[in-house]
Amino acid sequence: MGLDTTRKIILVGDNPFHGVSHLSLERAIERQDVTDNVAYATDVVKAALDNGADGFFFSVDDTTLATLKKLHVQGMTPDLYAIVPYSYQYVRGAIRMGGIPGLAKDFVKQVIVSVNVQAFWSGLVGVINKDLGKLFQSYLAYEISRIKSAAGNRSSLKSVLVHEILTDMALALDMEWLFRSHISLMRKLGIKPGFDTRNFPYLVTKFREWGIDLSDLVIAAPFNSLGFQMSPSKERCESILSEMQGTEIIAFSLLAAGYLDVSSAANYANGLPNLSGVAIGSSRPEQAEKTFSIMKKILAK
Amino acid sequence: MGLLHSSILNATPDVKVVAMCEKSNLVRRFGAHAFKDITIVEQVNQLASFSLDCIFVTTPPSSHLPVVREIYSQGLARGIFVEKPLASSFEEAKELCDLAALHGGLNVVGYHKRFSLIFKQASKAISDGVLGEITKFGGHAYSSDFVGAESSPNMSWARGGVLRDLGCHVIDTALWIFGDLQTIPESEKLNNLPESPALEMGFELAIPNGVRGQFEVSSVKEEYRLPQIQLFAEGTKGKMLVDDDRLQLSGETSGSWHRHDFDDQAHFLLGDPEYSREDRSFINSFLSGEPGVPSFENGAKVEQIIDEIQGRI
Repeated sequence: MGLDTTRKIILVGDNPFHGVSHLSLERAIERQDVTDNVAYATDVVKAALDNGADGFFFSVDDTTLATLKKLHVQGMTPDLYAIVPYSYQYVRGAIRMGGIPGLAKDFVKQVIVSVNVQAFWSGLVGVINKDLGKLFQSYLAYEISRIKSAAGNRSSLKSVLVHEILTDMALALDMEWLFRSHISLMRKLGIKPGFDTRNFPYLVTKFREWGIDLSDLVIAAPFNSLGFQMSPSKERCESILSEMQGTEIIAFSLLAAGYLDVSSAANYANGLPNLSGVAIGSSRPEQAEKTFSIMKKILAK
Repeated sequence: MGLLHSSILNATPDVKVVAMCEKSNLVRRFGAHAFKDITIVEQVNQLASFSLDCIFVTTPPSSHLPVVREIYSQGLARGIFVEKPLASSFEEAKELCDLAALHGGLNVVGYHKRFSLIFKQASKAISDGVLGEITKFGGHAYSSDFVGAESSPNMSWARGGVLRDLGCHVIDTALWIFGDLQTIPESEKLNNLPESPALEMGFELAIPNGVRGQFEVSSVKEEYRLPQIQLFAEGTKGKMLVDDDRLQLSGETSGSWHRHDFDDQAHFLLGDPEYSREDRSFINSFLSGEPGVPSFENGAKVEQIIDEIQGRI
């Protein structure tokens, strides 16, 4: 699917498929009546794509991979913006398996079972040499192989973004190597390296300090007129955004978890200089039709 | 939790994480390559060479007492933060309080819900008498952490069981919002509880006017993808329902408030903003010399209630 570069990119997000709502507990639970249903999730993504969405912005897990597979079977090839790792799954794994060592063992088992020779070999080299960059790259290779396997080799994987939990921890703990190894592998594979963050100004400041070139990266961060989840403040996030040139910046939480209406959110996004696109979730096909039609209309202005 | 607090602290102005203590050889070996300017040691006493101001204890609850004992006995730091729950029994919690009283300095237990602006507003509503005299109250703490793992509850026990691991939040928040709570030894419901339940249980608590409230905790609620706690209360002037995302009041004062309605900002956002405010509050208390909240004493009250519910006292 080719992008219309004269307007902002519109992506359909996957939060509702995981039963996430930051607005209320009941809303998250209501969503789960339908969100575990892959066919239903596929219908939502299709409705979004049919009504103005350019691509799918998703965390890599069993639900979204099955959704990709269904879209592929139906001949749909949206632009894909994949977020890894799906932190919720790993945090829950760590709780059940007694922390990081247990989780690491389980992950190695998964890679071996997936018969991903490249990921396994690269990981083994990483373990022997205690090379964390190599280990991380082997993990990324494993996730990319899962996406390709579900979406088909001709799928349009535009960007692989590091999940906000890992991005933000790595930023705070000065794990510069993680960012460099992600960027290096993605550039080698011809995929745009991306980072999902809830601390956008902090990320930009750190990257500048480390001398990491911000152009040609994808950065996804919360932007909304209420300042919801915009850390440290709405003003600071908007100010840093106004300085950015060449970076593909995607806004999420644009509706502030459903607190804002679509039109006002779209108008807010339209007014942000240097914002490249938006990612919005919908939990029902009819809601997706309406939301993405409005988004397309307003963001085309 | 260790990585979460380390990250938030390292991103806090005027704070620098300089050392970590980790028992796992694997994590220590790779951690040494992962973290720039942070030394990872194996033993708590090895932290002596860093002249630390504060230590965050985020190990399993059963190790809190021996770790904190060593910190105090060797004078490793003046500020101690212990992740919730404070200990694995009321006895241990009392010893921690005694140690804190003996050695002084700052002591805080990590009940981060106290830094939620929504629960803070609920607490204010109760203390301002918005509901009048309380006639009914209760709550729950639910998560899906052990869905699918019901047949092997050992990991839940390794974390202290559902009451200590998850239920402690709803007990601490209820103590903070409703004031002093007492267990009910003669309660039929308590007597009917299963022996040492790992994943689910119910219990009753009473507020000072004698009104009893029912509580439930469960770590096998599939629909609760993220852990949530909820409290409700009814009084002579109105009703209240509050959870992590919303406060609802009805009666003489009515309204509904979400996170969005408060200045729910964090200097560095990782997990919920409550974690950042919790860590910042700890640092501010350390710098100002003011007592920190919630203290070991607050944490010990939760342990007392848990042990009473489990029939240990």
